[in-house]
Amino acid sequence: MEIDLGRFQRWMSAAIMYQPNATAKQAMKAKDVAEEISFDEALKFIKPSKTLNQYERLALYRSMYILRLVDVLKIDYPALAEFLGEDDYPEFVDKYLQVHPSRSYNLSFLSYNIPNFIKTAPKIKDRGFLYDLASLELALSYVFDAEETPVLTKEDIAAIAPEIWETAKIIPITAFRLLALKHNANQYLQAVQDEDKKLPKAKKIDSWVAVYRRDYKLWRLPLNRDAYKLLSDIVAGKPLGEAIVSAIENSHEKDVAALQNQVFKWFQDWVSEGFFQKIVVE
Amino acid sequence: MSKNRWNLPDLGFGIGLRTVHYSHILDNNPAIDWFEIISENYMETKGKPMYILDKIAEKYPIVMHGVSMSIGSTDPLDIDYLKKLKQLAERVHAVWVSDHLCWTGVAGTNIHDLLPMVYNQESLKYTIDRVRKVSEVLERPLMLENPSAYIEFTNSDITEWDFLSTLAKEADCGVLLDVNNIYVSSFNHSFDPMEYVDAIPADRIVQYHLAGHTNKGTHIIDTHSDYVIDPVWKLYERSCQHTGGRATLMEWDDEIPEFEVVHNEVLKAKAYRHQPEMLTVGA
Repeated sequence: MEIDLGRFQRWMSAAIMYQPNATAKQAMKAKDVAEEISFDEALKFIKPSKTLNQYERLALYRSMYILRLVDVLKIDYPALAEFLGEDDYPEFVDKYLQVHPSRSYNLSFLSYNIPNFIKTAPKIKDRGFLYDLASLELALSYVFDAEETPVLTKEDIAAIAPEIWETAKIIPITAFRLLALKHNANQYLQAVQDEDKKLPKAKKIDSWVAVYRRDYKLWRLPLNRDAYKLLSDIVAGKPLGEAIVSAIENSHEKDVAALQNQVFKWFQDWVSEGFFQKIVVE
Repeated sequence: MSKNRWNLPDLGFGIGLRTVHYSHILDNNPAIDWFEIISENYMETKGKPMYILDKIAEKYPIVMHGVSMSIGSTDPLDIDYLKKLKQLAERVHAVWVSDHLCWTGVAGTNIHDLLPMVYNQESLKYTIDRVRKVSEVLERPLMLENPSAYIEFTNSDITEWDFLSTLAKEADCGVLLDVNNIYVSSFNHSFDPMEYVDAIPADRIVQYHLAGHTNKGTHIIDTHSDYVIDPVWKLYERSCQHTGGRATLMEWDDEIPEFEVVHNEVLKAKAYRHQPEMLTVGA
């Protein structure tokens, strides 16, 4: 009895990865058409044991596949898993893996498509909130794995000649992300991290947050609309003078002097938090 | 003590480096002989895991153990992966690099499991070629571990121990002998584990793995979630009679207890080491 090894591996791989809600036999039948190998033909190549038949032996791999990746994704998305709950979260992961099976040796990459999946998959309840929550948790993952870069200090800032600031561009550290959210995802994540007994309900509210790493610890700093606007322009590479003018022009704050003072304070805080790595003068 | 093929050192008794033990290790510098890392956990991160690994590698010998080389897959070898593996090995001064006798995916997907191989002449020849290529890219011998398996194939006509022994000789690779995996597979497939242990050439064995497992009655799952059971210690003892002892490592990956619990478990292995007997090993 001969079978091409590649065909057999594709069949077995499909039997493990797909059709989670079907029985093992149904799952394999669903995929064997695509693989041009009949289920019964392929199954002949698996030996039964003294206690388990071929289906049961194959099903062990299927169940371990799902359990393992459910656990792995929970590491990156603990708040998402909490929100979906014990029943819906594994089902969510099942559906996700059918659309986005792992294509890398690195398990970190497996989680990268979760926000986009939430945006586009059918029948996602609380889609907007979940998208924000997943985007926030993914930002934390990116920041966790980002390269360590030097941090601009107050002394570095003090050494810059005043006339240079107008055209200076300020480069953020690599371990930094900015998010504009439309839901209370940051509040929910904080409640999960604090192990609050009563978690907040999902609700629509504009919020802004900086995600960053300092001394290899992850932090989140809530921002207001004006601070986010200024910081996002700086991160996008606008010269500092231009970014500040834009922030003031777009602000709802009527008292320009107060806003200028506030901008100065924000900038001091951001330097203290280690947001920036260097100043580029062109 | 008998030597391995490459005169690689007997590192003593180590444990798998796991995140839950990072603080303990950094704060206490425990008196442990060496650590084994899961290679892939450090291959795409430039954050805290790599920072900590660099610190630990300054103080302890590091061995790299991979889970995604997929040596038995019909997909082409991932050369980019192998190059990154080599870079990491150079960075942490890995004493050796190992992976598993298995496949982990096909058609570009990764199941992240150690899937069993068909053991026949065709797959043996195929695997020998692949191991040779890997060794060329890594510029060092590859060590391969026998996996736990829950399926056997009707088109396998070579035993796993004969397959692994021949592969080691023909491809000039080493063996990371996991005695717990031998026990698990022997239960699931109904073979004599001692026959397996006796068949592996001592000069190819570079390292041992020890672990606990979960017996479900009808089958055993290799969960790495418990202490080593007596029959597994017996297999370890038997193999050490052939080799005189090799670098030995305790794996604990689920419900991981405190560092000292895992460390103490591997130190029990000292009691099972003996000087090699004049046993005829391997054909």
